[in-house]
Amino acid sequence: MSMTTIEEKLGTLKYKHDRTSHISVNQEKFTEDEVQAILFVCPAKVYVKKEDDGSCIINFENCVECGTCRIAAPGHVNWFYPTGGTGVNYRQG
Amino acid sequence: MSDEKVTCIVVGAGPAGSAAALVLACAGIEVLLLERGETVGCKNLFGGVLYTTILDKLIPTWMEEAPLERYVTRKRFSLMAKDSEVALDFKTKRYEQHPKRNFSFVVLRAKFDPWFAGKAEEAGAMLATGIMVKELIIENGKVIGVRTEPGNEEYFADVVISAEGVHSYLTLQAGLRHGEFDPDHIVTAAKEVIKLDKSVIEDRFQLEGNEGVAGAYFGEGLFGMFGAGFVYTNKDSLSIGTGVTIGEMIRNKKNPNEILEHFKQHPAIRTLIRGGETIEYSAHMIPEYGYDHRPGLFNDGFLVTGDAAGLVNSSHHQEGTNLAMASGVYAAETVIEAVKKNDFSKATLSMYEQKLENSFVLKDLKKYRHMTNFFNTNPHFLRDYPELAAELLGDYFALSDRPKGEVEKEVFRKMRRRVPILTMLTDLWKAKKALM
Repeated sequence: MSMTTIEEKLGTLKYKHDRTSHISVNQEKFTEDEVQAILFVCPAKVYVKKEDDGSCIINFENCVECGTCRIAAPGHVNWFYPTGGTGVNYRQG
Repeated sequence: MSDEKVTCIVVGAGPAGSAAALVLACAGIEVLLLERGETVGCKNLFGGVLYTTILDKLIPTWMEEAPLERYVTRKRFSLMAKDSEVALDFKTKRYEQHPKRNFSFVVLRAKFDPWFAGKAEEAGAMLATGIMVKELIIENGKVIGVRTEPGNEEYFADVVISAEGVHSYLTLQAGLRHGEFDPDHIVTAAKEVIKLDKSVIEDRFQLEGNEGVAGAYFGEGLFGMFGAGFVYTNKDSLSIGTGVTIGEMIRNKKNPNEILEHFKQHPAIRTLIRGGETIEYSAHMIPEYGYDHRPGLFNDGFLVTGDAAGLVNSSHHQEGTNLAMASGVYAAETVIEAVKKNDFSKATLSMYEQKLENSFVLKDLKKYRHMTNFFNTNPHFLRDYPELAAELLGDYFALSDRPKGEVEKEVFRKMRRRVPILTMLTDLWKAKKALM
């Protein structure tokens, strides 16, 4: 069967993780609707809202490096390439 | 290698970057090709079909050597309604006689791109992988090199060619584009490679030998949003995906994978992928801002190629990698001239834009310049017309004992009730202007 959920699909990917995150979010502005778009437009579930304080958790290890978040919330998400040689490694492409 | 100076640095070993490096190396020019991936191709993906007319000029033996999947003998354009599909299906044997198989090949980029960069390397380009260019080094307005990670190293050159891809940070830093992209001008595509037996693919898609299919899908399979779905046949897998503008996803609160799953569930698609196994998931942005919103393409010591320059023909032709290769070649030819004159100023480098203007690259972008705007301002087109077409055909072919003339009249009455004739004619005229 072909896969359906993002979680299982991310399992098909090979990563070489960077030590530090290549993404940061302006937490103060995160409550604004337009910034919260990153929660649902990200194809890799990088962004998760923390239940207790409503802040944004960044699972940068999931990132497939499309950069959609940067376009969806300009100025509030600082997405840049992970360091050379790290990040996702597509084998099909 | 650090702190040394070469003639040209090319940023990014995709189709544009490797084409540029190959042409420069063949001309005996010292060129350093920097790739942020641990290996070439590991960050790259597309649908996709590679159109090989430019490749054919660069490497005449590509058909024997390159990792190709299948050549395209069948093209499908499909309008999806909730429970139906209305399609144009073109299937031909005529490209079998064509010595280069109509230059249309399905490929997988993590396999093709390393081969192509390897050709540049064989020709004498210095290829360095695992090096991410984080910024340009600019002195008195002139680009003189790049700064990289890891290690915060500096590399210097007379001229830098950006083949950076869609993110195009360097273009921004060079002052050639202003501000962030409009979400309605950028598509995010999610893709899966689904493994299936070779014989199953050939039976299911009516293919013989190395023949392949390129299918484009519009309408309900994408929740009626502005974008397209695709199905391409590899040797023993399918490349399937959906791409929708980020603006549409934000307005409709949709996730790229949710769209892809909706597409996969459609009866027109689920029978094609039945029994297949997902072997890779991926996502990538496509720059669809087109001719009128393209960035500046050159500056002192700097040229922009491929996706970084927005050189994508996002019409029904869906071309990108061939435009990228062409731009890489033109950038390299421009640098060769600049080397002869020993002048890397923007006055000399402006020749690059002239070359693009005179070629299919900017001519095609110009031809389809209104397309993105057309679909953004006429959302009913992909939302309503596929549904209407399916409904009317469903009524027309529904069998009953009523005389055909009566059924026909009723179908036409229904059509006119749904869309007044004048509206339909205006829509057709607008679509023709945007697409033909």
